[in-house]
Amino acid sequence: MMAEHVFGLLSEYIDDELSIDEKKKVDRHLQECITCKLEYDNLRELQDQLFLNFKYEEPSDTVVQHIHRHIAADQRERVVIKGFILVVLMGLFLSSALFVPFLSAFQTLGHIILVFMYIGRSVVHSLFTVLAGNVYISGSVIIAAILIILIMIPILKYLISSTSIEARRSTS
Amino acid sequence: MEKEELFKVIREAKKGSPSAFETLVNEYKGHVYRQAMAMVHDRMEAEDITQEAFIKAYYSIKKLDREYAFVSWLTRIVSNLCYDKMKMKKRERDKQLVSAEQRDITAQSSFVEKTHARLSIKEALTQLSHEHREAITLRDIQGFSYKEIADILGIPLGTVKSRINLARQELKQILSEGEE
Repeated sequence: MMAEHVFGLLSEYIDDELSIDEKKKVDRHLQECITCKLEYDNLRELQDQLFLNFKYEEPSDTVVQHIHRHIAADQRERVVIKGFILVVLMGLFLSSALFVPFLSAFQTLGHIILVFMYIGRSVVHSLFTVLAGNVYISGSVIIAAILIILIMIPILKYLISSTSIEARRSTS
Repeated sequence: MEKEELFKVIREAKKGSPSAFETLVNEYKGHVYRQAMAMVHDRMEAEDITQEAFIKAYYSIKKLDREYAFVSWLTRIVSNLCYDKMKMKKRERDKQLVSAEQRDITAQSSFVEKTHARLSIKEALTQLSHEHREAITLRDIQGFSYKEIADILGIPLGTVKSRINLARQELKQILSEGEE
């Protein structure tokens, strides 16, 4: 007597996802049952057709170019950010280093002025005392700020021009 | 590409090498595009999804724990993007169907399509539910095992089996209706 149909197992059978026992059972059944064999053939054909219909689908070259361009733009952006941080740090370091001779020059100048301008001694002295006290910080910041601004102007110009080029490319 | 070589490229891409990532794009562009195409059945949209998937992958590849899980991880990204795209399309379609007149026209044309046009397998695929289409795409077009599909979609193995089985039955049914 022929065993029950195995329709419920055929999908897993064609995918080779059945246990060894179940697979043997289906193998045996397919040799005897034409109905299940037909269903098996249909499912197999459907699977092959699906695979073949999509096998040669490939995206156009522009998709890949867009991705590559995006990666390149991101890399450029990273370089600019890294450069910016480096410039700020270098600016701070340089301004701090440069300030040492400036500070002594201020002090020397202050002493000369004190000698020749005795009358305004207290005023000038107090002024330079304040400067000597705070000038280290304020001077560093001013010099660093000037350096950063000077360096940032061309970087910003470059960023603006590259962004507008990207925008034009993506709209075209 | 050999597995070891591929893992090496993935490791380099994780470290931030743009050339390594570009190698991965060239290697998997077809894989990603085929999945997107099977899901949305529109060349332009499939290309958009492909592009978006790789850009997303580029920014988040550092979070990938294991190199050997790269393909599943990329497939999951594509799957999520397709889901979002289809949800958006459905919302737009629903908006267009607001007026009763439009609904009538659509009903008429779908009747005409059903009775006269013979559906291709690609068109028939679009008539499946999102879940069924996704399961059969991952199995028959992308070649993943049931276990891998369960991991990608985050669903039990039994659900994968039943979705694939039902998707095949539905697809067969749709194609045979088109032939009648």
